Amino acid sequence: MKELLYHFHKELNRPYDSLEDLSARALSLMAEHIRVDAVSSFLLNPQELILTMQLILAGDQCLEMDEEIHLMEGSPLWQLTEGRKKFLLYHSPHPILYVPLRWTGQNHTQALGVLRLERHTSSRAFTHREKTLAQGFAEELAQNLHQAGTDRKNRDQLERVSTLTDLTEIFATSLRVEDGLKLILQGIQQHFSFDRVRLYLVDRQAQKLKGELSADMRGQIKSLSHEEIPMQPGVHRFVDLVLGSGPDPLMERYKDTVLYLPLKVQGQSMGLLIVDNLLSQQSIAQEDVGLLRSFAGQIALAVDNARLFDEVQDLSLYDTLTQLPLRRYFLQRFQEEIYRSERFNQPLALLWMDIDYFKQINDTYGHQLGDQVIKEVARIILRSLRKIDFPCRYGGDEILILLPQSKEEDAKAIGSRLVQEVREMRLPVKFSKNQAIQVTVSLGIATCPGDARSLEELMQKADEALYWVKSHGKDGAALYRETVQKA
Amino acid sequence: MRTLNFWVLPNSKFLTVPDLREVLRDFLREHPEIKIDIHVKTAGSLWRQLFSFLKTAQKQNLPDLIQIPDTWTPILIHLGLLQDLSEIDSGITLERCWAPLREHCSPQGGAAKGIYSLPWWMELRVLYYRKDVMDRLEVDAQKDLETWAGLKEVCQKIQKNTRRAGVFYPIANSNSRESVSLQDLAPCVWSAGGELFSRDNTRSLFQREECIQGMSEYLQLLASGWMPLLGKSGLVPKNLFDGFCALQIWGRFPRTAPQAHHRDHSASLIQNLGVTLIPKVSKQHHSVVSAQHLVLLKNSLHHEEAYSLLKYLVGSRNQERYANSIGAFPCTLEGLAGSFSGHSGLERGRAKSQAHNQEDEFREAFLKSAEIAKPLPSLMILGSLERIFDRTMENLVRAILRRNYNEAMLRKELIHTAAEADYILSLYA
Repeated sequence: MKELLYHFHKELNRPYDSLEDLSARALSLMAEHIRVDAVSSFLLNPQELILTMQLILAGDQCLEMDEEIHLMEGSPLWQLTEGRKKFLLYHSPHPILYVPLRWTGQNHTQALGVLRLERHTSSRAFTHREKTLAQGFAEELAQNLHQAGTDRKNRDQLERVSTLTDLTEIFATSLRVEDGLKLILQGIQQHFSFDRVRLYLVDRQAQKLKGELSADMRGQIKSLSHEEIPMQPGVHRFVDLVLGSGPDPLMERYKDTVLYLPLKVQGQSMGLLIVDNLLSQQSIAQEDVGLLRSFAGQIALAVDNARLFDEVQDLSLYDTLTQLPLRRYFLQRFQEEIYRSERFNQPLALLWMDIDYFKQINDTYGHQLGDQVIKEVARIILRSLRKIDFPCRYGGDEILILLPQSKEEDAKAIGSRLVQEVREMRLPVKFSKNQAIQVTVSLGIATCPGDARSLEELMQKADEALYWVKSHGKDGAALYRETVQKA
Repeated sequence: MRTLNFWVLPNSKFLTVPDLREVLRDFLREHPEIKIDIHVKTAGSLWRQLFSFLKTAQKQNLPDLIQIPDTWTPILIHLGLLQDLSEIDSGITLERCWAPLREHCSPQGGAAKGIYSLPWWMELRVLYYRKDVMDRLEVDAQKDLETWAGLKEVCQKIQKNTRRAGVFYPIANSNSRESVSLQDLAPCVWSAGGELFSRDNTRSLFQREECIQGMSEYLQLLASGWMPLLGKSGLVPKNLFDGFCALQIWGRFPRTAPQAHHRDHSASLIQNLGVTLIPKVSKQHHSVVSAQHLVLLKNSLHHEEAYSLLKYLVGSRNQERYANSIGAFPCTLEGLAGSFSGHSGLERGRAKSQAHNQEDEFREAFLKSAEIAKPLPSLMILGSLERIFDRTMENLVRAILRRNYNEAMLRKELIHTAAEADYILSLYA
């Protein structure tokens, strides 16, 4: 018998690809040496007290099969898994022998499951030798299963450490790039293999919890911007969590498949990260829960930084003084409008505006008033334009305005109206003669495709028209075509 | 030589592989360049592995052809795992297939946006009874088993009159997981006038009174000890076909007379079998039909060969051969009607004319059941919801085993389950 057990030991200590392969080999060796019709391995779920069949070997086939055994406290099978019995023997409806799969360490033991050996085709009872051999095999298999399980846990742990490193790198990267939030969500989804990751952020100004992004199991990103929840207690469980309440009973019910992670930076709630396995209904590993919780601070910081980056990006697109788009944004939009104009054969006009005597205003009244002049002119422009029109502070006191779908006459009308409205504007200045100053602007207009067909050409023609107005008395608007004719 | 990986569920337990090999013989003869590796997986294991493919973007050791329960098709389509079969074969049609099974072949709602799975075989539930037991107890099966109240009375009578309580049970539990599934409960819910989901499939109705009533009726069989939960010696509880119960709701038909394991087990049990509709809980009779489908994985490298194998298996002759070999039914009404012809068990030990009568009796009962049967709804996330429901049933079964189950507990569990299901439906429906 010792020799057999040694052979079994050697066989099971060879490398196997999976726990299933290891069990399959063990079952086939048992069936060979204990002459049974079927051997099955059951693994224990200690929380649910359910034994679930892992594999069954019958004849030359090793199969997965659906079978579960509920363990009742005090029942013979429960006693077996608890280590209170060494084996269980039944003679009806056919000879059956159960032996426990229990791992024994230095200081404690652990129930892993049971093995069931059956004789369907013979009523021959299990002998003492067979029982002892089955117990020996089960002990050996339990040691190997435990070892394989420990190896797998270690491997998982290593993967988690590597995940941590990867995520740290991702979070660091997210500080420097656009779509940082997207990167963070995809990183978490991919490294932990969740079904979905969702991010909600607190909008303090609007007093709302706003949906931001969601990453699904294929890494696809969707916007959740349609989801907005008022930040009031009791309105929604997500808000309650952000405000510091515990999970409600429904959340408790699916706590194995959903993890809510309130995000805080320096004690201030800034959002909620939700990861779930709701579709696959696979439990989130406790180790992953621990890792994510301990990592929540870093996630919050990365999310906050990514959000700040986006805000900074927004700031850099607009001029803070006038709220007009800046040159970079304008040129990008200009390019698109030129393309659209060509593609759909629609007219496009460009207005180039310059504040008359701006340098003198600055020198006489100071830069503060100069800033105020630009701000007021911008306010008039924003108030007067259509939604599709696109103005920009091109630099200093130069303002460019794109008028899509506008013919020469429309552009001239809009330009003249702007010149007039600015002319009518008065800026109060206490120490000036009239307690206020009047400002005028000059405006050159070029159109596409009439005057030009490219961005550069259109800008050049509008600039030339502006130059003409400037050199012909200022405070006016002129079409490029008119200036050519007059010249 | 191309190797196709074919993943199947344990359709006929240990005979799964031999039964399949038998049907595949002709295909392999016609395609000597193809080798087929059959892998038997449980539904739980298959579900886990399919999700694992998605999450890890696994490219190797992928199955080419997979058997899945009908309720999984919509979610696997949604996740982008399945190949649209109409892209491979523009002439593909579901016309031959029994109408109620068709909507599970396409995305939720049966929209005409491709065919992603083809029904392979089906189970159609009826109530089997042992004529000898009914005769002994003077039960008129066709009349007394018409209603659920009648069924309970008969169960009580059987239990009272058995000398082997705890060994011989009034009604068998067909569920091998020592539990109860949505499929088990659905006919009772429908018959009580309830539905499992709202018509637009956006809400669950588990907490509705009719639903609770229907489920309560079924669970009462377990709670009263009429239906066994735990098998003796830790084995799966024995059933009618093993000779240990008098009644059984089941969707298959025993292909051969079961072996006599027990002294009470008549050698000619199959001829001693009667069949009738599942008793009605209140309004009408209902039954449930569940099909097993075949699908191709989108990432399979051998679409052409895998599709020809799929076509071969769902072809009428092979579908009938395989379904009959495992006691299930082909997915056509003609196939269902033809399943009882020339059954060896029905003919054994009886005069030919009598056997023919029994054949007609079975055919008629199953065709009647087909008229009142429907599948679970084609709901995108039904596969996920079934798993949630299984957990609920585990809780209730544990309570039954601990003898502290009551209807208030069922109500509470169903309210929670409905809320959980609604949450997921709100996210994905």
